[in-house]
Amino acid sequence: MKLSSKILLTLIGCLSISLVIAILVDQFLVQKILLVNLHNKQIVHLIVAFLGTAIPTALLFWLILEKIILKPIDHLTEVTKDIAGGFLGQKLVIKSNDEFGDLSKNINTIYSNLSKALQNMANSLRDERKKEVALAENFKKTEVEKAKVDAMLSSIGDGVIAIDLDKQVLLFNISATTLSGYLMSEVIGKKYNQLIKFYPEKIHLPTDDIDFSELIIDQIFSGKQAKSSFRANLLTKGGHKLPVEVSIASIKNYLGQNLGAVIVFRDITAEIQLNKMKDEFVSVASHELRTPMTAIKGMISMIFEGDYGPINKDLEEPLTDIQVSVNRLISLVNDLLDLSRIEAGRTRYQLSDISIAGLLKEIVTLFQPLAKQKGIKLELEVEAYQVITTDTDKIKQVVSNLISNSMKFTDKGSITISVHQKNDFVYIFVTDTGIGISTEDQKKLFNKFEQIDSTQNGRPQGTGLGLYISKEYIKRLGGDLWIDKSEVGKGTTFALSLPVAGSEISKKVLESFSKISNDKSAPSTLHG
Amino acid sequence: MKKILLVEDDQILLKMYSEKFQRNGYEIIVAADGEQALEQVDLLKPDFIILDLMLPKLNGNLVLKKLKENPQTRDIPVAILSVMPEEDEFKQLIESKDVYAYWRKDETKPSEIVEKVEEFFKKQEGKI
Repeated sequence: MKLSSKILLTLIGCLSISLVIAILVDQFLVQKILLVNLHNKQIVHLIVAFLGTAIPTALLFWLILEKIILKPIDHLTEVTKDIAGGFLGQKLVIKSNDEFGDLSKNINTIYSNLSKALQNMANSLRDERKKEVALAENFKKTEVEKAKVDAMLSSIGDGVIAIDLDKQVLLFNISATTLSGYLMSEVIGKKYNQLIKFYPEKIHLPTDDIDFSELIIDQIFSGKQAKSSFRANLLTKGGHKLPVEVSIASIKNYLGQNLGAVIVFRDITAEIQLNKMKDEFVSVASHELRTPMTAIKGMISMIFEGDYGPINKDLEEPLTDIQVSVNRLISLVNDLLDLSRIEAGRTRYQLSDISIAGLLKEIVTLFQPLAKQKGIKLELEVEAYQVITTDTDKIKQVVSNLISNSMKFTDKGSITISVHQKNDFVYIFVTDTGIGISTEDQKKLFNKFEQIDSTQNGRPQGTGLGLYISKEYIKRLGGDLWIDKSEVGKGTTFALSLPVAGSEISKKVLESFSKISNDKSAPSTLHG
Repeated sequence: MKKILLVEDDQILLKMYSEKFQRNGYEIIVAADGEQALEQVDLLKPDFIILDLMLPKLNGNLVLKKLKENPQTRDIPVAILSVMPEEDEFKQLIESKDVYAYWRKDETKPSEIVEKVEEFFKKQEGKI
């Protein structure tokens, strides 16, 4: 019920009650008790009526009004005061069905909404603060990581340059400065090869049109290559050519997209000098060892040819023995020189494309006279005419070694060389009808200095290195060498595989010699 | 009589090859180092040069270069006689006829070397 109605009813009620009281007072109090004989009874009646009406009315009115208006207002005032003061715990409790009730409900709603809003704000604020703290922590971590990376970059001896997709320098570490002579400030933000120029190894003069490092980076950026390593000469600020080993790799984000590239380069002056010394040593050693042996061998042959006059018959045998010994010595020196190059990683490989059938034919022809002398049939069966990319001299050496081994251990019958092709490989089999190799000996055969104990069967001594060296060469060229089968008393088959030109493995072999050759037609001398 | 220039720094080998060639009817000119070799070529105009690679003063490679640069000596046939297995490196020079042949000293008998030189002269005469 509306307040106005309440007030009206209250008024009416109060007035009614007042009237009743007035009549009563008038009837009993004034007339009977007071017994006043008044001239103006009307005045008394009026006064009584007025007092009787007004006072109770006022009192009642005030009492009721207090309940229905003042109390709720006080309550409202109190609670809203609290709300204003920030105490959000109170609630208005006015349950009456009038304007105060509505006001109370509304204020409660406002208050509750306000409460929720404030709570949400507080929560958001808390979350924001948490985020801020986390961000600050991450930033600190990143700073620490960055400091670590900076420390790492400045302490590595290799030059490190990072470039973006426009090939501009983003990062240039201290070693890059030490090696190139350029300060970071001179290269940062510029295209890297304005100042940092890598020239191919063999070219002696700077030629502006050969910037193959940029070609490689283009390959990397276009996704054709992920990384590359090569040797080059870096033109320093001071004008020197510094031999370096360069590695370039792409920098990708977690989605695999290119962000740029990192160029790492290392001073290899010492390495080159060391290799030069190793090569010179082997060269000089071979020359010094081979020269006197050539003299001995040559002169013995000349003695036998009568160039120094007729030979005393008694001298024939010792001279022959000297010849045999010198030949062994020459073999041994050759093998040791090969071995020392293998161990030092300085074996020289010259790769070119050759027809395997043609090569084998050449070798077999060379051995025919010897085979004829021994009465052994030497045959070549070709079922494959593949071209292989390999080192011709090494293959000659290996196959010759296999054939001469067969010759050594075969007294009668035949030696057959056959060539097949399967998938990406060419297979060469050397089969003899010789004395065979026991399973025991087969295991040791490819080891260094291991030989079949030939002293007992009177076979010429070998060096024990031939097969070890052969296997090393073949493996380096992407193939393998093994005993296919052997039976004591029946014969032996050695097998040799080599990758076909253009095959995956052949390509990998070429790559593994890691050399940039601008002239692809020339055979390249590679070390490995 | 054909004149053969032998360029070899080892005295014993020089003696050995000289003996063999002389026995087979050749006139021998000797040189023990690279400089001497060029002098001898200039002076005596040999018909064939057998050249070792490892030489004092001027090594065999440079001697060869100089010989080929000089129009007067360019056409004298040169065979490399060395202990080094470098044949492949000379393959191109052999193909281009700058070098007649590459022989391994430690794998070829003196008599075989004489044979090979004879073969050359026979071929040469066959053309004429």
